Amino acid sequence: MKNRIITFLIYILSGVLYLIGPHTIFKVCSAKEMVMTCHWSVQAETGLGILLLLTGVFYLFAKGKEAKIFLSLQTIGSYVVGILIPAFLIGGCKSKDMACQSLTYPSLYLISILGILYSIGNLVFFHLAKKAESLQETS
Amino acid sequence: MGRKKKGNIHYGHIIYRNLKRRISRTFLLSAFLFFMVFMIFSFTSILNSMREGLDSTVKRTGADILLVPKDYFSSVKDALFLGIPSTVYFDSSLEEKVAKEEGVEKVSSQMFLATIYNSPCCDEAVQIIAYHPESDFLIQPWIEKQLKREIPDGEIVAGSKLSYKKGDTAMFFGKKFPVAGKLKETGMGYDNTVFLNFNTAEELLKEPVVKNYLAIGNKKEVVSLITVKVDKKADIQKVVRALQDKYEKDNVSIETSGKLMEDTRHALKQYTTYFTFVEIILVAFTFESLLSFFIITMSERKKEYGIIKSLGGSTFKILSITIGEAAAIGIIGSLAGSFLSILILTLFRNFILLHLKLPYLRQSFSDLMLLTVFCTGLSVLTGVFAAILSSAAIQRKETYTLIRENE
Amino acid sequence: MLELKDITKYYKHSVNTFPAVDHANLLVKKQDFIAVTGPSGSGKSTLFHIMTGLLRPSEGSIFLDGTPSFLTRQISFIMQGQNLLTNFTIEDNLYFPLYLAGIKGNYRLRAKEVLELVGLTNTIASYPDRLSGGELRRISIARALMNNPGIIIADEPTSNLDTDNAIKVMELFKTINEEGTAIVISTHDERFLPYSKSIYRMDRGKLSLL
Repeated sequence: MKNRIITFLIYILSGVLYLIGPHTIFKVCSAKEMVMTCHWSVQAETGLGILLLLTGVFYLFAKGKEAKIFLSLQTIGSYVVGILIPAFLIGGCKSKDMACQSLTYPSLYLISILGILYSIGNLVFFHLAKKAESLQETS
Repeated sequence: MGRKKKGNIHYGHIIYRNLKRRISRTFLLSAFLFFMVFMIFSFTSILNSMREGLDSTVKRTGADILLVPKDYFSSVKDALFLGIPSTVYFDSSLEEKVAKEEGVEKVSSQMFLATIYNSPCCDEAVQIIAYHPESDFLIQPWIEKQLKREIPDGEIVAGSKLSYKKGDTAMFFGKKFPVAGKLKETGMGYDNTVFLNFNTAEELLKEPVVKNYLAIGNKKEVVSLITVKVDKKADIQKVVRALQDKYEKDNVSIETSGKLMEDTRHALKQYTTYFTFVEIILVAFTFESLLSFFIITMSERKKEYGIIKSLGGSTFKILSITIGEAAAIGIIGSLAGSFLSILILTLFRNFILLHLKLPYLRQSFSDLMLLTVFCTGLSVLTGVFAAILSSAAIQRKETYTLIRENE
Repeated sequence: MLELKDITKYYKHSVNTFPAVDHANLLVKKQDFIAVTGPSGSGKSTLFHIMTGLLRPSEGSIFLDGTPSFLTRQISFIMQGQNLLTNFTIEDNLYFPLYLAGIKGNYRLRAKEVLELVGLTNTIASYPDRLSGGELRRISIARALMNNPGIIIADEPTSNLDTDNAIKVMELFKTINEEGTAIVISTHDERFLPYSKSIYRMDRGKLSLL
C-alpha cells in the first residue's frame, strides 16, 4: 500500500511539474513576440506530463507486481524522452544564458533524473521482495 | 544470498536489519544529515570555484599596471572577470609615451569591443579583444600555448563559453570571421571573449556600421587598455605614482592590477565569512537534532539493549552496533546530499553564475570526490558522536533495569 | 557445576534496607532439574537474575566449575516475558547469542535441529511479532539450546501460557534434561513441580531445600 501511494504521488508530482513548470516556476521565454525552438520543446514536454499523470493513476489501481514493474519501466522511458526532447530531439536557444538553457531544461533534467532513480529503486525493491518470498517458501 | 547459507549473522547484517525494520526513523535521521551535507557541499563548491577563478585571473593578469580610460575602470573589470561585454577606447599614442617612462620594462595594448546582436535568443553578446601578438605579454603566451601558433589575420579565437567551434564561421558587424580555435575554460571573462589581432581589428574598424556604433569618428588609432610590466628592480608604487602625476589629467585611470582584483577579493572574503558562519550553525543544529532524536529513540530501545546484554552482549558490542547504525545513516545522508548537490550545481551552473554574478563555477572530479569524502566524514562523525552521547546513559544501567523499565 | 555461595541482594525502601535475597546457597550439578518455588515477591526472580548476571549481588559469589563466573557460554538464560529481538527473523534470533560470543561457523543445521525439537520449523523466516506467546517461549528455549549449554536457567517459563502450551514447555525441558542439560526453573505453579528432581522454596529472600 505504501509503495502504491508513494509511487503514485511521485509520478503525479513529476507530471504536474512537466505540465505547468515550464509556464510558471521555471518559465521559458514568451512565445508572444516570437515563437522560438524552446516553445516547441515545452509543448512536447507538456504531452509527457500528461503521460506521467496517467501513469501515476494507473499505478495506483494496478493489481499485481508485474503490472507495477512494467509501469515503472515505462515511466523510466518517459523520463528519458523528457531529457532527450530538450537536449537533442527539439532543443532550444544557442545561448547558455537564456532562460530555457539555464533554468527550464535543467529543471526538467533534474525531475527526470530523480524520477529515473526512484523508478530503478522501485524495480530493485520488487526484485528483493520476490527473492525474500522465494526464500521463505524454500525455508 | 550467501548469508542465508552461511548459517550465522554478522555485524553488517545486524546494522542493515536494524535500519531496515525502522525505515521511517532511518529515513528521518538520514534526512537531517542529507540537508546538512547538501548545504555544506554546495556552499563549499561555490567558494572553491570563486577562489579558483580569482587565482586564475591573478595568474593570467601578468601585468603590474593597467591604464584605462577614466570612469571605465569598472567596465574593464567586469569584462575581465565576468565577461560582460563593453566598448572602451582612448588614444593609442599614450602607449609609446608610457613605454619611455623610468621603471617600465614592457608595454602592450588591447582593444575592447562589444558586439551588437539582432535577437537575444540566437546570437550571443560577445566581447571582442584585439591585441598585438608580437608585443603582448598578457594574452599571447596563453593563446600560443593552446593554439601552438599566432592568430592569423582575418581569423578569430573563441573563448570556452561561446558556441563556436574550430572551423566555424562567426559573424560580427556583418563581417565573417573563420574560427581558428577554441580556448579552454579560464574562469574569467575571457571565456565569453573572441580574440583577434590588431590587423583584423583595423579591418573591422573600417566598416561603417562599426564606426557609427563606436562613434570613433576620425580617430585612427584607439586602444582600450594599456598594460605595463614593471622592471624587476623598480618599485611598482613609485612607477604608478609617476604615471598618475603625468597622465591622469588626460582622463586616464592608472592602477595596479591588484586594485582590479581588490573588490573581487573583498567579495570572496565576505562570502567566505557568511558561508562559514552558516555552515557552523548547520552542523550545530544537525548535531543537536540528531542527539535529541537518538535520546528519544534510545528509551524505546532499552529493552532491546537489555536483551542483548542478557544474551551475553558486552557494553562494547552494544556501543559498536549503535555506532555502526549512526555511521550507516551518516553515509546514506551524506552520499545523497553530495550527489544532489553535484547534480544541481552541474545542471544549474549557468543560472547560478548569472544570478550570483560569479565568474567561475567548476571543480575538478578529484576536488569533488575529496569534498564528498570530507562531507561524509563530517556526517558520520556528527551521527556517531550524537549516538555515543545518547547511549552513555544506557550503558550505566543494569541489564535487569533496561529490560523492565518500559514494562 | 554451578555454585552460589551466600548470595545476598539488598534493596533500599525509604530509609530501610532489606534483603531481597538473604544468604542463598545453591549447587547445580550435571543433569540436575531444580525447581525454585515460592509466592510472588519472595525473591525468586531476583535470585535468578543474579545467577545469570542481569543483577549484581550485594554479597556472595558465584562459581562455575570451581572458577568465579558470571554469565558464560555454558549457561543459557530464558527470561520471563517476550525476549526476542523484533527487528530480526527467528533464524537471526537463534544466531544472535553465537554472534555475541564471537562464535563463527555455519549453524544452520543446528538451527533447524532446535526448531524441530520445539516443533516450530515453519517459523524460521518469520518475525517475532507474528508468533503467539507460547511459540515465542518455545523459540526462547530453542535459542537457549543453540550452543549446547551445560545449564539452562529459566525464570517463570510457563507464566502467561495456557495449560496446553505450559505442558509443551515443561515436556521440552524434560527432554532436554534427559539429553544431559541441567535445568533450573522458577515457578509458582505447583502443577509443574513434579517435573523436577529437586525442589527449593524461596520465602522472604531465604532459600531452602524441600
